[in-house]
Amino acid sequence: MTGESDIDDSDLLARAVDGDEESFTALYRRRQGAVYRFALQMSGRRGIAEEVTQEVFLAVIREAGRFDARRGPVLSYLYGIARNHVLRCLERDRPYVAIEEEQEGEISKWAAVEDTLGDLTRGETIESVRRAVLALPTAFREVDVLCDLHEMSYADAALALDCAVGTVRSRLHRARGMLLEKLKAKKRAFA
Amino acid sequence: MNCQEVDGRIVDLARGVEMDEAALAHIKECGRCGARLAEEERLSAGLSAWAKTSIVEQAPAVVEEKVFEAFRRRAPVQTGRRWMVFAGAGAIAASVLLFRLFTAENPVRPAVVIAPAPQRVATVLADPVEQAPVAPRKARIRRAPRRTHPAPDTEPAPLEAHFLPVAQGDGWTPLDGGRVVRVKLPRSALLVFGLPMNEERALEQVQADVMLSNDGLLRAIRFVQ
Repeated sequence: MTGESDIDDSDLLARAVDGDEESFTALYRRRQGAVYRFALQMSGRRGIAEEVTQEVFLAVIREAGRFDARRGPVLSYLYGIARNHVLRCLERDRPYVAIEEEQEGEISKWAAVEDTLGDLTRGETIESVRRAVLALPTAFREVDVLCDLHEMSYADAALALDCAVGTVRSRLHRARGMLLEKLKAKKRAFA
Repeated sequence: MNCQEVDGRIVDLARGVEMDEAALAHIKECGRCGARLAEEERLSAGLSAWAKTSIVEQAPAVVEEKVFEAFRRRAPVQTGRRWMVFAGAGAIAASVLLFRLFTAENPVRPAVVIAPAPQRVATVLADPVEQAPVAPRKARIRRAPRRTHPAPDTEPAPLEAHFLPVAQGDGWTPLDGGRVVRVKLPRSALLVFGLPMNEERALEQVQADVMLSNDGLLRAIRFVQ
């Protein structure tokens, strides 16, 4: 007997469109984490991440019939919806500053002073990387989050971002260049 | 391979998605490119560490509850559109028929009367909201309020601001007199007039202004927000 875990995303989605709640539940539980993390890494705010995750799956309920498996995987489709909602939320909340996240950042900032590029895998420097990514312009941040953090292929990321593969590749190259510059500048500032 | 060519591949090399032997051979001999690759690899390691530490992040249970509740509440899946067309056409026909029956038993004065007082005839309509007589020379067309926000993703501006004519084959024009009555119709009526409609909202109602001639025939329709 085939369990839900053996069924691929597009089959689960097709069954969910037909009203199968078990398939929808399986799809949600399989992919909500990725969607939530994408939104969190893009925005740095849990409130937005929760809102986006909810909106993505509500959109799936409303519009899953639009999904075309020939164009790409379900995950790219979900990231595409999530990306649009994240950008909308960031635009909406632009005048406001998330106090709690800023305070959290302040606390860990001092822990990140030690060596920004020397040993980035250490826990205390992860915060530096996180802040550097969040400081990237959104067009570069979304590429870096998808390709570097979510390990998407250029083709799947291009599908999620609705742009050409070459654009993804060049933006990732540029994003990483900016990240290195930010991390080096921070290192110099605290040296 | 020179430094510039290697630089174009350095990100893929650092991320481990490309193993270009020629580029790697150049990097072994070029200290500058070697340092650049090491830098990119450290950045990849940092990003990977962040990704690993955040793998535990999940949407809270309250989100799951809301999403599942929405799934259970959603409209039943429709397998075709044909029934919607018939339902919409039937609803319109019923509205017109009821109006004609009403006007046959309780004739009202035609709207071509100069400055008539508003007459309420809506009580027998399917679900009327308001109605007003139409002066023949200036059939008032209420325009939908200007949108200040983009339409939601699921409903790409389906409602029209102008009347859609319904030909009855007798050459009637607004100058011949008539009236406009606001009614509620199933959203599926949009399909009858070739307008886009979200299938999942087919059972909801939309408001429409129907323009009726003095003989009770439907002459034009306008869907309003």
